[in-house]
Amino acid sequence: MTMKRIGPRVLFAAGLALLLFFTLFPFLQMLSTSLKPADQLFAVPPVWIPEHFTLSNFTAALHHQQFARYFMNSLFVSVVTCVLVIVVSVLAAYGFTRLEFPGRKFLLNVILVSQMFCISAIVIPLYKIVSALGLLNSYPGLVLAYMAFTVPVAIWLLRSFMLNIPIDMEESAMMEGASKLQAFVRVVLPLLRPGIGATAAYVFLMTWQEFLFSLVFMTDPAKRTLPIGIMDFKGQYETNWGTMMAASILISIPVFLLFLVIQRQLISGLTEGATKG
Amino acid sequence: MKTRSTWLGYLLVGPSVLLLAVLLFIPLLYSLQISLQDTDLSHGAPKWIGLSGYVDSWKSGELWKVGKHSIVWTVCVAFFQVVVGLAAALMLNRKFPLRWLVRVLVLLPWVLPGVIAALTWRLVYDSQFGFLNSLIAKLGFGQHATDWLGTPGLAMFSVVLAAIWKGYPFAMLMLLAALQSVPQDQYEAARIDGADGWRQFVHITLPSISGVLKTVVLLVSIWTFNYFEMIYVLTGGGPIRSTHIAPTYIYELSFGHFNFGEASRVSVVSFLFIFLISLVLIRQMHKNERNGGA
Amino acid sequence: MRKIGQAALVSCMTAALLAGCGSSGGKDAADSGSASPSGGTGKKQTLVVWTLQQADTNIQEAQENAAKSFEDQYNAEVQITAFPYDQLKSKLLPAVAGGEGPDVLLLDQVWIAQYAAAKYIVPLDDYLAKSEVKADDYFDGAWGAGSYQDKAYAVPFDVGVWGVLYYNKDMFKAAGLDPEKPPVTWDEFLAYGEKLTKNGKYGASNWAGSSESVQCLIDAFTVAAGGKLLDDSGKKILINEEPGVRALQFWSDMSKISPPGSVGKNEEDAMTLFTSGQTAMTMYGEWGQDTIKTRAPNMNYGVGNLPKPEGGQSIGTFGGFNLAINANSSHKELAWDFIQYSTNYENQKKITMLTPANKKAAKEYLDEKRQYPDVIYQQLTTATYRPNVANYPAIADLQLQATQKVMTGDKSPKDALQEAADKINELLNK
Repeated sequence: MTMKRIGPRVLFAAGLALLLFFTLFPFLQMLSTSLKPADQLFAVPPVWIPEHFTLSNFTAALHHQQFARYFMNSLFVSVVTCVLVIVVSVLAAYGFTRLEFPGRKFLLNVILVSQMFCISAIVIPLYKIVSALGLLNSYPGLVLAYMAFTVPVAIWLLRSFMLNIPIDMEESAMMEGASKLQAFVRVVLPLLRPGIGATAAYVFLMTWQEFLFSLVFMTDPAKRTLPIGIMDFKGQYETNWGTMMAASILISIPVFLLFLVIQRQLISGLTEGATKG
Repeated sequence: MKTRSTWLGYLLVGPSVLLLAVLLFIPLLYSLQISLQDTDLSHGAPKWIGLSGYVDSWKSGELWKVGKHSIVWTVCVAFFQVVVGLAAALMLNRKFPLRWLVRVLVLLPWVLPGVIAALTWRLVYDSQFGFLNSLIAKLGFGQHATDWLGTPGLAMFSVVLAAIWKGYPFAMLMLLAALQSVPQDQYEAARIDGADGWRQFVHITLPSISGVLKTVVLLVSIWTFNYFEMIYVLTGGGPIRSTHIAPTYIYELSFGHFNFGEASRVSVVSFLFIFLISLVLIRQMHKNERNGGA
Repeated sequence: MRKIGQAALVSCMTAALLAGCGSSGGKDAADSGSASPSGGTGKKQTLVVWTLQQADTNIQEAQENAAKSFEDQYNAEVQITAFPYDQLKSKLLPAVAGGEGPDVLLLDQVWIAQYAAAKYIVPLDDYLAKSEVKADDYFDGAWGAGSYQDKAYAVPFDVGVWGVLYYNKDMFKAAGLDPEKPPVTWDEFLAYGEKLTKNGKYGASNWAGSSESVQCLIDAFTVAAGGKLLDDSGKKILINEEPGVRALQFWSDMSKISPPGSVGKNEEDAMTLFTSGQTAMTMYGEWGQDTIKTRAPNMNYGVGNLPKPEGGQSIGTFGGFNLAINANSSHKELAWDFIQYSTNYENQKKITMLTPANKKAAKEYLDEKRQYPDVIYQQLTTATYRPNVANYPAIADLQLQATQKVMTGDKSPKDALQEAADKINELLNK
C-alpha cells in the first residue's frame, strides 16, 4: 500500500476514534461511578477503573421500590403515544399532501408554529386544561400532552416522506377501480412504512425521556414514569450517585438493543423521505 | 395533482388541529392574557396593566441579557450539532468493520433521559473528581482544577459542549439517511472528471442533502432555543447569570418567583423571536418544495 | 377578555370531549389527587397530603402508621404521596395554581411567604386561637418562618440548621491540632485551616454554586457578626452594612484553605470533599451525619458549633418544613386536625425526616439519633431565619450573584453587597 492510500485511512480512523471518544466519554464516568462502592465513589485524583468492582449499585437499583414498574409504565406510555401519534399524523399528512381545501397552507403553518412554545411557560395553563378534562393523574392525560408536543414534528416528517411518493401510482390504482381509501392502503401505506418507522422512533424517544409533564400531571407513585422514578435517587442535598448511574445504564440497555434491532429499518427508512425539505 | 375535497381534508387534518388547539394554543392565549397583567407577588392581587408591562420588562435590561445568551447558546449549539452530526454521518456512511455497532453507539446520548445526561456531565465537569480535568492531566497537560461550570465565560462553553453531545445524534441520523440516497453514479462521473474529495463534497454531496440539512437546522434551532434541562441542572443560569437563557429565565420567573405575568411576557417575546426566524427558513423550504414539483 | 378566554376554553374542551379524545379517562378523575369535594353525606372524607420522600424506610413506616391511627381517630381517609424535594417544588406550584393540589401542603420555609402572598394557603390564626398549639413549643426561628405579614400561615413540622461544623479528627491529629477542640472563632477556623492545608489536602471548602445553602450560611454569619438582614419595616435590606461585609469577607477568605473552583460547587460537593477525605472541615446541616454514615462509615469525625466572629456568637440559619392548608381544600377543618396531629409532641418524635420542630421532641430525637446532640440543639435554639418577604427568591438570587462576584474576584465584598443592596431595595419598594 502506498502512503497516499494509508494517509486518508489513518485520518478516517482517527476521526472515528475521536467521535466515539466524545460520545462515550461521559458514559465512561457513568459506568465507573456505577461500579464503585459508596465509600470509594470520589477520590483525588479520580480513579477511572475501580479497584474493587461492586455490582451492589445495580442490585440496589433493581430492588428499588418500583423500578420495574416505572419501566413498564414508560414503555406503555411511549408505545401508546407512538401508535396514536402515527395514526393521527399519517391522516393529517395525507390530507396536507394529497388534498386541496381552503386554509390548507394556513393550517400547515399553524402546525409548524406550535412546536415553538417553551414548555415551562405553558405548563400551568395546560395543567388547568388537563384538570378540567378530568385527566389528571391518568395515562390518557399524559398521552394527550405528549401527543400535542410530538404531533407537529411527526406530521411534518411524514409529510415530507409522503411528498416523495409519486402521486401517479395512486392515480393509476384508482384508474383500475380502487377507491381512494383502497389506493391509500394498498399503495401509499406500504411505501410509507420506513417513514413511519423513523417517525415512530422520534416520538418514542421524545416521550421515553420526557420529564416535566410526567412530573406535573402524574401523582400516584404507581403511575410514575422512568425519568421521574430515576430521580428518586436524588435528594434535596444528597445524590445517590452510584445507584443512579447504575439505574441509568440499566434503562439504556433495552433502548440500545431496540435500536440495534431496528437500525436497518430506521436508517433506510429515513433515506426514503428525508431528502425532501 | 391534488384532489379538491374540503370535507375530507378537514376530517383528516381535524384531529391534529383540534389537539393542538386545545393543548397548545389555548395555553398560549392564556399566557398572552396573563402577560398583560402585573402579577408581582409583592404588589398584591394581579392587576391589568396592558402593554406597559412589556415596556417595563424591556427597560429592566434582563430581557436583553437573557436574549443575548439565548442567541449565543442557540447558534453555537445548533451549528455544532449539525456540523458534528454531518461529520459523523459522513464517516458512518463509509464501510468499515463493526459499523452496525458504531451506528447505534453514537445514538446513546440521545436515548438518555435529559436530567440524567445533565447530572452525568456535572460529574464530568467537577473540578476535583471529574474525569475531564483528569483526562487533561493524563494527556500530559498538567494537573489543573479548572472550574468548568463556575467560571463566567467558561461556563457557557461547558454547557454548550454538553448540549452538543446530547443532541448531535438526531442530526447524524437524519443526515446519514440523506447521504445514503445520493446517487452513486454522480460520484463516479466526478471521479472520472478528476474532482477530489472536497470538490465532490461541495458539488455533489451538499446540494443533494441541502433539503434535509435545512430541515435539520430548523428543527435543531427551535429545540435548542427551548432546551431547558441541561443548563438548569448544570449551572442553574449562573455563575452571575452568565448562562441564563430564555427557558431557564421563564422557569425561574414562574416556578421560582410565581411571577406568571413576567414569565408570560418573556415567553411571548421569545416565541415571537423564534417564530420570525423560523418563518424565513420555512419560506425557503416551501420554495424548494415547489421547485421539487410536488 | 377573561370571559372570552373562558368561553373559548370551555367550548374547545367540549369539542375535545365530543371528539372522544378525553372520554376514556373520565373515570380516573376521582382519584386525581385533587381537592375535589366528596359530598359529605356521612361518607369518609379523604385528605390528600403531599410530603417529602424518605430515604429512611423506618420513618416512612412510622408516617404510614401515624396516618392510619389518624384515620381511625377522625374517621377519615388519608392519602399521603411522597416526592423528592426538587419534584415536590416543581409539582406543587402548577397543582395549587391550577386550583387543585393536596389539602395539606408541606412547604419549605422559604416558600411560605410566596404561597401566602399568592393566597394559595390560608391564615391559621383562627384555627390556632381555638387549639392547643402554642408557638412556644416550637423553635422560634421555625415558627417565625411560618408567618407572613403578622399572620401565621404554616405550623413547623421539622427543622434543620445551616449548619454545624464537621471536622476530621484524624486529620486534626496529623496536623498537630487537638482533635477534641474544633475552632471556635473565624480567625481560629482560618488559622487551623491553613495548618490543615498541605500535601494536596485542604482545610475546608467553601462553595458558591446555584443553591440556597451558601446564602443561608452568609446570612447566618451576618447575624452572628451583629447585623440584621432586613430592617423592621421590611422595606430596607441591611446586608451591605459592616456585619454583612465581614460575613462575606470571611466566606471568601475561606478560599485560601479550600480547593479551587468554589463557584462551580454546591453544598453537596463540599460534603463530598469532606467525606472523601480531601478537606478536614466542612459546614453542613446536622443531617450530614447520615451522609457520613453512608459515604465514609469509618471516618473519625467531630461536630462543633459554627465558628463565630470575634466578639459575636455562633448563629446558624433555619431550614426545614412547615405544614399549611391549601386554600382550595374543601376539608380545611380536617386538614387542620391533621396538622395538629402531625406536629404534636408524641408524633413528632417518630415521623419527621429532619429534627422535629417541637422542641421537646427535638431534644429526645437528637439524644437518640445524633452524635453531639447538645451542640446541635444549641445551634437550633439560636438560629435565625431567612427574610419572609414575598419576593425572597429574587432577593436571594441577587445575594447569590454578589457572593459569586466576590468569589470570582470580580468585586470586593463591600462593592458587591452595595450593588446587590441597591437592587434589592428597589425590589422591596417597587
